[in-house]
Amino acid sequence: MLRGPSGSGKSTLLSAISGVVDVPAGAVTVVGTDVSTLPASNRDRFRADHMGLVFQVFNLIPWLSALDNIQLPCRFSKRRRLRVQGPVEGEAHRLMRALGLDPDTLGTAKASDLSVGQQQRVAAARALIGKPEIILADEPTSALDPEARNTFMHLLCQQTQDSGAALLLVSHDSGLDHHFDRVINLADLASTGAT
Amino acid sequence: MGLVLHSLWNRRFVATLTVVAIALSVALILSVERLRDSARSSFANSASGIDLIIAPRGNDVQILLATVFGVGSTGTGMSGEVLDVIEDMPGVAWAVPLMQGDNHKGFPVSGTSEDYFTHFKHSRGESLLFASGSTFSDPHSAVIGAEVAERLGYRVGSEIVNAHGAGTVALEIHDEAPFEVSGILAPTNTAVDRMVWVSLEGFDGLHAGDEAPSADPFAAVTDLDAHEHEHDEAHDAHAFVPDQLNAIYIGLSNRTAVLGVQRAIATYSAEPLAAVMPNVALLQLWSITGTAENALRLMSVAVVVSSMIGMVVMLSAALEARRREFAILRSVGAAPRDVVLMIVTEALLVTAAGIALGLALFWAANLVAAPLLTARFGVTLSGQLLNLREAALLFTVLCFGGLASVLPAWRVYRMTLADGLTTRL
Repeated sequence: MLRGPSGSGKSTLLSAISGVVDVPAGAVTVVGTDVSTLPASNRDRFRADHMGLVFQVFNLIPWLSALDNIQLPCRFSKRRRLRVQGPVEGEAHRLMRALGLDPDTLGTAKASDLSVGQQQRVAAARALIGKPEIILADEPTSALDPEARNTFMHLLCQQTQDSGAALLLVSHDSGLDHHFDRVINLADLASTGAT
Repeated sequence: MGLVLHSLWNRRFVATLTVVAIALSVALILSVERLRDSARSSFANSASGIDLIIAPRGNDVQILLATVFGVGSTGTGMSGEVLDVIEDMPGVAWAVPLMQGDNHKGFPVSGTSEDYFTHFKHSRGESLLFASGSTFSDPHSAVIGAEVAERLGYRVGSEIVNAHGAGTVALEIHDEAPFEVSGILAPTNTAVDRMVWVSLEGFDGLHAGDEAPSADPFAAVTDLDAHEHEHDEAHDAHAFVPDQLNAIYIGLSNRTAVLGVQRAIATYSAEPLAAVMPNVALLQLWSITGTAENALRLMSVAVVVSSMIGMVVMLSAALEARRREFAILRSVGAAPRDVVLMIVTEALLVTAAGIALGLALFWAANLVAAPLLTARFGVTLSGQLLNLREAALLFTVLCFGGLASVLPAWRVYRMTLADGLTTRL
């Protein structure tokens, strides 16, 4: 977990890791690939293949159903589609169930009809599908109440572990510390970089 | 593709309006083209079997319209002796005399000889066929076109009464001299369907009992004055031999003789005559109507363009609202290229749907309009679903639709690059 107050550059760091912003060569290496040296289109491909992303809010395409939202990465990444064993839709069902959502009642609901808590879980399922190596989460819990936050974090960590992915979460919320193996304060990182 | 459909469905109201706008414009441009082509081929088919039309000197187009299509009149007449002179000309295979100026309930009535039915060809060489009955059996026989029979419910044996004049207004009804239908022609889809023929004797005889023109209170205000005189002169001489003709159709045994015959007639010393080549006169007619046609075409192109602009407006207006959607798509792995492709696909889909609906509208309009056009103007819409030119036109519209989406697509490209994965709302 990466912690720091808002405005300290957490989101920018995530952008750098996911290859959206240009960074100097050699600055960012993800699963053995130097993201910064990839051309823009390959970075998109690389992100689609190896990363799952969860944001603070507005993660889902409002006019698609929850199940369709979860399956989106498999549309764009052949690698993640191949890493799903069996039909993609079945995997989406499994992930929903694993994250405490009933795919039969909520699966076909439009994303905009779900509660914020449910939306975040769908977003988590989408990040997890196809077993990407790394899950990047940018303040995924800040829109949730404490109860929902803990349930969400618990489920997210468990599923990340199950799929063998690394979870990198940025937040200003020190209440999440106990879910993580490592907690890094961005301020410490920055001072390290400065010296 | 599925995503695009979903996304469009999400905006189905605006998308439907856009599709309808494109559909209307497509139907309009197709109809204009089809109407123009049909009118031209219909006219050309009507006149295709005649090599030359001999008439008193006048405007070529006017002569053609008056004789072949029964629209307007040729004005003065020419003496019946011309027929003999022409028949003796070298290269002339047949000559059919024509007398005009009457109508039956708005359908033009011509006096002609039986030769008309054997020699007249339409639609590139097809002969006239009788659907029932046969040619004139006595001076009071009449042969009617297929449409006349259908519209007025006539059969062989029906009695018809003609009126003087060329329009639907019956200036003088020849009810003292009724005709009996002796034959009905098979449909030809040309002007022939709307015509009534009587024998020269019968036509001439119609006016045998006429009063002097001065007794006709309308004569002075119509251009039929000439006709009155001409008919009066006609029955001063012989009762049943046409002394005055309005026109003569000529078929040549050798088409290369056309210029020679034309020159001979133009220099005919006894009276001023003109020999009109129907195809040349038609070209003249098209050059007159061409301006109006082009204006109409330009209008329909403008309507298509404006419907395309409508689509660009729809796509562009939605972009701002869809920023979030695009950012999310990028976060799950869509490259800016994919997003651009989505917009272009969307535009092509909308255009294609518009074209499909437009075609349906066009066909429906054709079904409704075809009988009306045939009845009112004698123009037969071709039954073809879509000809090559029209298909090319539709393809152009589709390409244009794709092209029109480049602008919003470019904006999306810039937007997705600038926004990255985070949505600033």
